[in-house]
Amino acid sequence: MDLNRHQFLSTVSALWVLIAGVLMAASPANSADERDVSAALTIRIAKFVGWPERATLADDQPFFIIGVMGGSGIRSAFSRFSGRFVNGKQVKVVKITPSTDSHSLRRCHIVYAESRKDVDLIAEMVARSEGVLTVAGPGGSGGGAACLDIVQEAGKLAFDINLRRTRNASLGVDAGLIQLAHKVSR
Amino acid sequence: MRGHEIYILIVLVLGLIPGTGLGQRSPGDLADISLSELLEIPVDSSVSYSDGSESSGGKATTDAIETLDSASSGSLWYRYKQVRFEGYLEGDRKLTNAEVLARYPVVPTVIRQEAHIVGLNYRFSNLVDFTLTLPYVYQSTEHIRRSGAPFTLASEGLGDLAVAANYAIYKHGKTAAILTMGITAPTGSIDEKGNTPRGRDTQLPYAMQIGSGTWEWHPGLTLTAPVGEWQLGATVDGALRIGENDRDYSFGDEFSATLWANRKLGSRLQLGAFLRGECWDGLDGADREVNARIAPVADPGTYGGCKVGVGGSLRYLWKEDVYEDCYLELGGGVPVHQNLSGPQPKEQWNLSLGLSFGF
Repeated sequence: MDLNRHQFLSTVSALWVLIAGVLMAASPANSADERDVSAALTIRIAKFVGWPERATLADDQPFFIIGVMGGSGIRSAFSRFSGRFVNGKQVKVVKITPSTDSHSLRRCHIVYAESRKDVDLIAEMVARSEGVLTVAGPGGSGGGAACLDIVQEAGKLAFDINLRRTRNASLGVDAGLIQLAHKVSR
Repeated sequence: MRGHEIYILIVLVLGLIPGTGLGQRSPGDLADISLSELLEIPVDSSVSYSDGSESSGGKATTDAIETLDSASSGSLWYRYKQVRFEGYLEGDRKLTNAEVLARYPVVPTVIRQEAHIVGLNYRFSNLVDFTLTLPYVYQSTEHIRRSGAPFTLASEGLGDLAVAANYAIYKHGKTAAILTMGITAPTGSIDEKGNTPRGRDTQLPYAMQIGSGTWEWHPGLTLTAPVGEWQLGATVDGALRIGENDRDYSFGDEFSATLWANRKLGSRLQLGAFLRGECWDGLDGADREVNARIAPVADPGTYGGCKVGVGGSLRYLWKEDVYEDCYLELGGGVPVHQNLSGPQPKEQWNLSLGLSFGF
């Protein structure tokens, strides 16, 4: 077959567009990293939660402290929100390890745990503590140990609220948040 | 270049830019969109969550964020402690005061030891803390004697200064193994004197001295773990005397094992209970100014023993949240079994009242 220059370029460009389209449709580049969305979701949800008055360290007063237990990926996702404001306070992201003192966790407004093991540990450490919103990431949700479970449903994130746990932690939950929840446990 | 060739070039260039026209958001943008929009974003779930290990997403790692420090950098505390001794045991056999008086001309009947202890705890990190304690000791002893009127002796003063380091060799949430290494300096007096039947300003017996007169090692190990609502623990510790004091004696080494448990009752109260067994060696050496035959407490041969005791405490956390070390505590205990060398005064009970300020 004898193709002229114009026909050759047209054929190549059409094939290129076809291949690129198929590759992009098949690749995850079309979706966001689950950890980035989880972090953003947690920050957004915080705006629908009321924290009780509580004793704080003088150094902590200007900050909305988010403690993250998990890999560097999730810490990195949260650290992008450092310096932003939630409920009038500047977000400060800190790393939590299994050796963190349990009563030190009370410095945090939110404690986010990535894996199921971490969620169980965090729930044990902040048991009976007021003013700490425990959040289980998609990798650790489902155990019912956290105030809030971020879950994945049909390729998107959703969240479940455990109102008994939020009540025990003396946290107020906006009705609008409850309406958006995937599941509500009372 | 002709028109259709320019068009083809544009198509090729656009095709080279991944994601163009697909509406993908950068992570930074996620902070600015609404909650309902976030719930509609398709997510890449090819992320491994095994114990926080890194994902397959190739996300740039960052450990720039700081680790959460201990909320409280330390605590200053005060504890009042009183121990009462009354009655005698030889082994586990009870002796009457008359039986003891048949062997010694002077017999202490009631011994009351009180200590006002001030302590400072400094948290160096989540794993290490240091404790410094200094007691002020007051002791009084009522005596009877074969002939003559009863009399009372008392002594008081600053006791031995103790410093200890506690290091969590393992810590995972509320499960921990804590190693303690302490040392006590002989800052308390061993030259206390009083007016006894032997005369004025005579050297008081060993038990009535304020300090031990020797340097001491205090090693210890605590294992603790939560079980349901309870925090359970086991502690073994000891006091190992180093050498003899200036008066040529040293108290015996001490070893103890304690099983303890505590739990919260509501948000402000904490209940504690313990079972403690302890043994201590007899006195080594003798003070030449103390007549061993005058009273059982002056006899170096009547200082060893073992006992098992139970007790409890109730702690009120008067400032909750980050300052967990702000509390008022009432505690007490009684021995349930004692096996003592020689005629030796037996413990009746002990109680303590503590107050702590976290900072």
